[in-house]
Amino acid sequence: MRVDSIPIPTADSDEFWEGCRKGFLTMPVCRTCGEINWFPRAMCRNCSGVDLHWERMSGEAVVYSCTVVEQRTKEGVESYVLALVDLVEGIRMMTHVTNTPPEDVKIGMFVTVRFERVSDEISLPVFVPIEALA
Amino acid sequence: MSSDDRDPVIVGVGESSRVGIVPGKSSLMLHAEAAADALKDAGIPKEDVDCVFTNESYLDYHVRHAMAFAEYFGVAASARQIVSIPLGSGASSGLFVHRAADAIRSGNADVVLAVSGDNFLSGLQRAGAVKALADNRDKEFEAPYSPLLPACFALVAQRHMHEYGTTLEELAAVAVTMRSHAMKNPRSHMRESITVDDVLQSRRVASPFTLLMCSLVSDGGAAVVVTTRERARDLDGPAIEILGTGITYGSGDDARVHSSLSQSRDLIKIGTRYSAREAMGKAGVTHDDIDLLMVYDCFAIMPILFLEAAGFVPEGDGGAFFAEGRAMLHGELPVNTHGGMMSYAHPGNPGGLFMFPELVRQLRSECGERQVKDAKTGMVLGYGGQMAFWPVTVLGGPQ
Repeated sequence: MRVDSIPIPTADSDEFWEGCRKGFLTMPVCRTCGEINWFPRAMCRNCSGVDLHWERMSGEAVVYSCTVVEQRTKEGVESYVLALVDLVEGIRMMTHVTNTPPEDVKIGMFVTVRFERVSDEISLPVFVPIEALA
Repeated sequence: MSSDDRDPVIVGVGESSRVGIVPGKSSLMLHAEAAADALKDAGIPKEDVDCVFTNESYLDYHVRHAMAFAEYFGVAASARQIVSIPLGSGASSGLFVHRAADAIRSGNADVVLAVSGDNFLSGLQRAGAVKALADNRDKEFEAPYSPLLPACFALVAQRHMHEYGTTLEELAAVAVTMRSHAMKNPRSHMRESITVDDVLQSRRVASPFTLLMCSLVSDGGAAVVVTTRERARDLDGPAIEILGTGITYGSGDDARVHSSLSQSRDLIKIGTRYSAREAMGKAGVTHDDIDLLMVYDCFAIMPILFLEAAGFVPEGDGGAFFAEGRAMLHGELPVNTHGGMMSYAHPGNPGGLFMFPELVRQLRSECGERQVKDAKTGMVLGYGGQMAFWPVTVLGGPQ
């Protein structure tokens, strides 16, 4: 995938991007109240606790909404599916749905995470339809 | 002195000499033209301005934007507040008036000038403007996925279509409604007649949106002058009442404030359902009292969401309201009689501010061919951030 903007990890997100490099989704979870904090942060957004630990997410999600973007470039029209997906853990992420014709992606579709390496440091989470794997 | 002496009223509105394609004018000049026009409209000399609100500019960055404008325009040093509200176009106009009303009521200001302008088209060109707006995304967890602005609102539209069966033709009818109004407005950026078919056949941008379902990229500026009812009694022109304001942060039933689109839990049950109730409650008006609406129409889905959330139609019926022509000038509730950002002008930050000059002129019966008959009360519905906060303002005509 073409990436306009490669993320720069911060003190809050280093562990997340390290997980992506290794091939899993991980998010900070508050030991005090159990809140999953996404986007990553060092203080729990719910109880202001600072005892957070990183937990692996299943990587399975349902498409909440999606759109086929047709962007004109020098090479012609480039299409991709921008989506919001809801992880089974209840977290919403912006992503691309790939590995399937763009017009086949539908709201309610079950998807699972994959990682696309875009630099030495960054692998981006994207999602693919589960039935496409069968 | 009577008890209502410090009620806030709008006594002046103004715009840059032209809107649309306006080459050869800087961002600050567009501000200055609008400000001078609004003060002339009010009949108040600029030396009396003691409070200034501006937005930031997408093109002409200043660490202290409002100070840079005040310096350019020549605001008197006796001013008491000069503040930039860098929140983006959709909400800042509502926040301008909300904060102006607070400043007047509290005695912290007597004459508030709120102004915004940008050469968004001539200064940036279209691709640059789209990119500047895309900088609103979270840089780590959204920007890598190239969520251009039309694509973000396409996500909103797709969800609305999924939940309520809203159709492409209904989205197209929103664009046609705005254009039909713009055609009656000699200042509009776009005045060429369009049909539902034209909208559907224009270039695909991000499903379901075609190009004509997206707002324009324009140049221009707008300004509003707010003062006390006491001062207004000495002015020649009519005073427009700020009857009520309301703001809700978060979409729907979000528990916490969000800034980024993907952090919202519900993209279609927007916070306007609470802020509209708040503003109408303070104003002491019901839906039947509202003669016309101004809504922030950055993309064709938004007017539909606003009508539903503000309670003018049941959830899911907003699309049909436009398709049936009920939002047209001679319909039961005209929406964006100037032509909105889809056809009048969208110069970036000032886009939302044009809603106020239009509503004020409608309430003063100054709109000629596009005048809404007997317009006495109207409402402005905006939003800011990424579907993140929702200001509402109710204005009433001169008593």
